[in-house]
Amino acid sequence: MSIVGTVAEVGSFEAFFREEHVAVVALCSWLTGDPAAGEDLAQEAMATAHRRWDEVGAYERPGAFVRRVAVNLASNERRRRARRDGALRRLRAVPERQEPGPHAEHDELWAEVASLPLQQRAAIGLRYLEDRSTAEIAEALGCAEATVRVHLHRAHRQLAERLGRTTDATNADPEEETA
Amino acid sequence: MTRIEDDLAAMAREVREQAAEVDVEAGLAEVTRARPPRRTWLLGAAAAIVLVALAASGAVLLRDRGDAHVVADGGPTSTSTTTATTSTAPASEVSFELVVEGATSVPLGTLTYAGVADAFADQWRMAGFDGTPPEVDFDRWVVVSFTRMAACGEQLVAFVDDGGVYEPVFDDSQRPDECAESRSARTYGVALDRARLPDRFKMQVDIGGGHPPQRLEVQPTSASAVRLPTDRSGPPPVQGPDLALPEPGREITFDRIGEVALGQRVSSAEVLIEENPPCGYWPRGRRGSSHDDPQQTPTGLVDASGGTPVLSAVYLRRNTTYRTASGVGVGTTLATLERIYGDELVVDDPDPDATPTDGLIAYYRRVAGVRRGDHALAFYLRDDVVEAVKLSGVDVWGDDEGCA
Repeated sequence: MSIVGTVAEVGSFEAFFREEHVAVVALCSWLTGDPAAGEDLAQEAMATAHRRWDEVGAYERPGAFVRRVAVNLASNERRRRARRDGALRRLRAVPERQEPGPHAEHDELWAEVASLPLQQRAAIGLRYLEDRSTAEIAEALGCAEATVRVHLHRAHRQLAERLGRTTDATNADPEEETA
Repeated sequence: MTRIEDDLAAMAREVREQAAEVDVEAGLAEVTRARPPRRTWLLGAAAAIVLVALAASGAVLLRDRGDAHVVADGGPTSTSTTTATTSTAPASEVSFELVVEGATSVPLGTLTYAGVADAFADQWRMAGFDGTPPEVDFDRWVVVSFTRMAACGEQLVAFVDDGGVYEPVFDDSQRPDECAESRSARTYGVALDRARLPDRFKMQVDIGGGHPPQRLEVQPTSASAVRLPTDRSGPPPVQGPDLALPEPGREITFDRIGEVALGQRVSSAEVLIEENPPCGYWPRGRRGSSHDDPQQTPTGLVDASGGTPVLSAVYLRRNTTYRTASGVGVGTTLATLERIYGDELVVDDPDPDATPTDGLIAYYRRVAGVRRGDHALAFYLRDDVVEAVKLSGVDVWGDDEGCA
């Protein structure tokens, strides 16, 4: 899979949108656990890119930009939702929110994925949804490649342990292995 | 035992397949229509469309949490409240719980109070929020709500009680770079503890967008309340003649205001499209342009939904020299409007029981309207005197957040 589109490839915002939108929707669905919310989030991320297209369009990889925006927006939404749910619980308002999964057969896995820290969730999303390399994930998340390796490793281990699965991830953190 | 990697790959495949069902072209149209790219286009002098840079976007009133001290003022168009600086008693914080926050369908500046569940449910529906409202113990709490122009990432951090005037305080210091300039109308629902409330208080909200702060008087023993009529603390209304002849080239008709005509095609070279219009709340499918208009010329609202950008509305504010053939314009009294237009004139009031068009024109301020065929003139009133005029198609003659 090619790296997220370059300026030369995308040319215009419209071409960029058509090239990237479905993938961004998928990532946002993964991040939010809700296809409808994911679509809204993807729209918002794309709108951000559109507003700044004069600048973003000149980036080497505008797709990385829009993914980072999506992760940030998901993070904001998560905090907002947590504050709201906390307030509502104090108001005796709503039961604990169960984050829905996009597919019933994966509810158990989805619940565990949803419990991961957002950066881990985003990292495995980019890996499995888009087959991104560690370097590409690092660029999209705005962190070091070593950090991505740790995110991926810990996410795999945690999910495997909680769901009784095996994993290719070893017991040691990759940062420890490379140290 | 299966590998977690295989499970994740299977789940990712299904997420991808579901995402592939989205309507890409519809999404693209929505993004490009609703949020024009930051681009400064040439102002068309001939078209006399003055769409001014968003002075109000800087008019963010920053307050120190808890003491209601004005830290920064947004500039000449900002409308800061005066209560904080004139009060000698120190302001105190009021404990609150944020019940809901989100994009909304109610007009900017709407303030409501609910003291019982039914009123809260009504207000929830009015705001257009999905689903049923959350359960709130109204023996303990009351819920106030307000709709204001919020910056992306802005957080409600406190409520201050400044001499019986309750005011929400927002922190916009943590705005993400990605949306630092973005603003949108948002409704906040806030629960306040009855035990800590006085018998009566005023809620005051700086709603942004260059509009004056809005106030709602609340009696926690009552069931509900809506925002009081337009606050009087804003800039004074324009004093113009009740009737006067239009100056040459400045006639208001049902097709144009001066040189700016409804349906007029707008080339990309003529219009400055602001990405953050101060009004920011437009009929669906249309994109807005700034209407802050210090040069007092008619401004246009651009509708690009049909492909070719055209003006779907024309606004005139504070300029007393544009007049209808009958002499109506800024400064005309409601009584004169009624005399001239007779039964054709309809008047919507902020009172929900006094909106003959069911709020089609407006239900948050007094607005009079008259239609001819498919076009309509709306007269925005203050103290029963016209302070702004909007020309549009009947389908959008209604309020659009006080942009006029």
